[in-house]
Amino acid sequence: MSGWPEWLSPVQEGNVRDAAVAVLSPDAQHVGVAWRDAGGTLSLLHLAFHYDLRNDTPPSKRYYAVSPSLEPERLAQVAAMCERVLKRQRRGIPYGFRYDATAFSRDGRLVLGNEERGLTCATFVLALYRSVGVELLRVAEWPDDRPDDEARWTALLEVLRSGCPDAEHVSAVAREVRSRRFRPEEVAGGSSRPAPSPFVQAVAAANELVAALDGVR
Amino acid sequence: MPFGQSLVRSQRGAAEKKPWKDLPSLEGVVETEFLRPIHLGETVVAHRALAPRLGVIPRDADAILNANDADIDQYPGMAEWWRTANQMWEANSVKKKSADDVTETVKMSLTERLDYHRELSAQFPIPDIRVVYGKSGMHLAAARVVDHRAVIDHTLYWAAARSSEEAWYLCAILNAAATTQATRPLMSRGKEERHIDTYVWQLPIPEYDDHDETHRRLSELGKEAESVAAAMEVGPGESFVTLRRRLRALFAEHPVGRSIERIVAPMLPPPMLESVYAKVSDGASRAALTEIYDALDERLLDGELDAAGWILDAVEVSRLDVTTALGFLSVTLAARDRLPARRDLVDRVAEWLRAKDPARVASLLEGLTP
Repeated sequence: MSGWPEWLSPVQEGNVRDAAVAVLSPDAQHVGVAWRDAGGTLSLLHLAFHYDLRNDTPPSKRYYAVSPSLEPERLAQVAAMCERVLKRQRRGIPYGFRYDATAFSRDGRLVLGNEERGLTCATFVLALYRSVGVELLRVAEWPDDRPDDEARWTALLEVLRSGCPDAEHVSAVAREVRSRRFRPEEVAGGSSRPAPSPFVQAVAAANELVAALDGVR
Repeated sequence: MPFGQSLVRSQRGAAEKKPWKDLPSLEGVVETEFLRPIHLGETVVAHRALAPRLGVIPRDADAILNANDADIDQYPGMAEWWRTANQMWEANSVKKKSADDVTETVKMSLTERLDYHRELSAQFPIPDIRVVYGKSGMHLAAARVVDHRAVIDHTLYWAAARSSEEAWYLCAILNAAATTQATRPLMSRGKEERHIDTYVWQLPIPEYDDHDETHRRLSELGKEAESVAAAMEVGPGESFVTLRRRLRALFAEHPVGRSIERIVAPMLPPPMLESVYAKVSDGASRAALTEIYDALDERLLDGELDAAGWILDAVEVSRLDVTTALGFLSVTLAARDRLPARRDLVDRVAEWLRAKDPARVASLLEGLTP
């Protein structure tokens, strides 16, 4: 396959050792973590939407895994944390745009940062890695003024508004539409680079990733 | 011949129960040889015996004196005090109802009560050096007592030490948070489960051996801890409960306290560690990792930072592999500011990695250091 990144492969047995960021093809608009439990079973943990945390076993064949630029022993920690989050986060995770200090606490529960309301699929992955000491991206470098980001936030907000009965939550998230957006393809692409990936490198990797997945349509 | 006399008055407290709380204080002039320092639970905190209370103990050089014995008349002050006390005891001591509803007095004299189970007479002759610790409470608090006149109240357990070195060694072990944690699973369920009691002696605490370098080190640390505790100021009216809590917090961070934990925790390790080591040895590293995450997760979820610290202090890094060593650091990352044991473990893992895999130390520990 011409131009196919060597760090990208279908989420299948053999392609994921302990954990990897997994991105949904073909448009790379959703991301999660492919991980193995202690028995070796491969699953995909992802935040589908508001209070909708899913663990798909086996993962859909539409997901592609990014070989992360991390020591394998660190990836085992990500897998163990996936297991822990599943045990502790039964109620799910709220959906929200702004991401800065949110992380999983020492007890596996989500602790939202100041004025942060929840996570997206992409920031869920960032928070999960952060909880074991891995910052995948240099988050401070992300711009908060990309016009298409605000448009995407607005579209997602409408989906949230139609499905979330908590009007207060929706209003709070509505105030976050100018937050910096960590795109799923940037999180996935950035995870192929030495952590934490600078914005420029993550975007370059994201472009490679999108182009590759576009070819599998 | 009696020498010296002193005016004494019974000390009153808010914890008195009926009928005693309604009785007047006992006051009298007693020969000073019957006045002894008394250590109670409230005069013992970790590594420090506070100022003892003063008590009237009806014992001369040979034996406990009975109020009805003629011997006591050699000491008129003591005789009057003790007989008055006995009268008050007879008039107010516990009564029980018999089957036909006739009230009977329980037949235990005040002297018998005072020496119940020989708790008083067994203290004589008083050893020069003793270690005492409180019976009640969820945390052990032990101290060295060097006072050949002091009597130990029934709220404390005591043991004679052959030397101060042995006493410091025992105090170092008994006051370690690891010892309290190791004792918890042994404590009985039900209403007594909150008390350390004698369960601590079910632990494999080795007898002091001054040929053992580790024992000598613990003894030195116990001595240093005694100085640290002695230097802590006690506020006016500060309760022993508050003081014990302050000392626990102090030693949790203090280099002396940390050094003690680092020695005692591996002596009394949490059972889960053997299971982890066995899995690592069998090549089941990922399963061991899940066990580490689950064990520490449960403790942290319950706010049991001491228990989590006990695990981290007890870890023998050389029996782990890289994945599991990083597991202990990763799962506790979010609690790093509240786990002094984790800071020590980071240093130990780093040192181990520098010897084992120097090229990868930085990438393995990135984001996991304090």
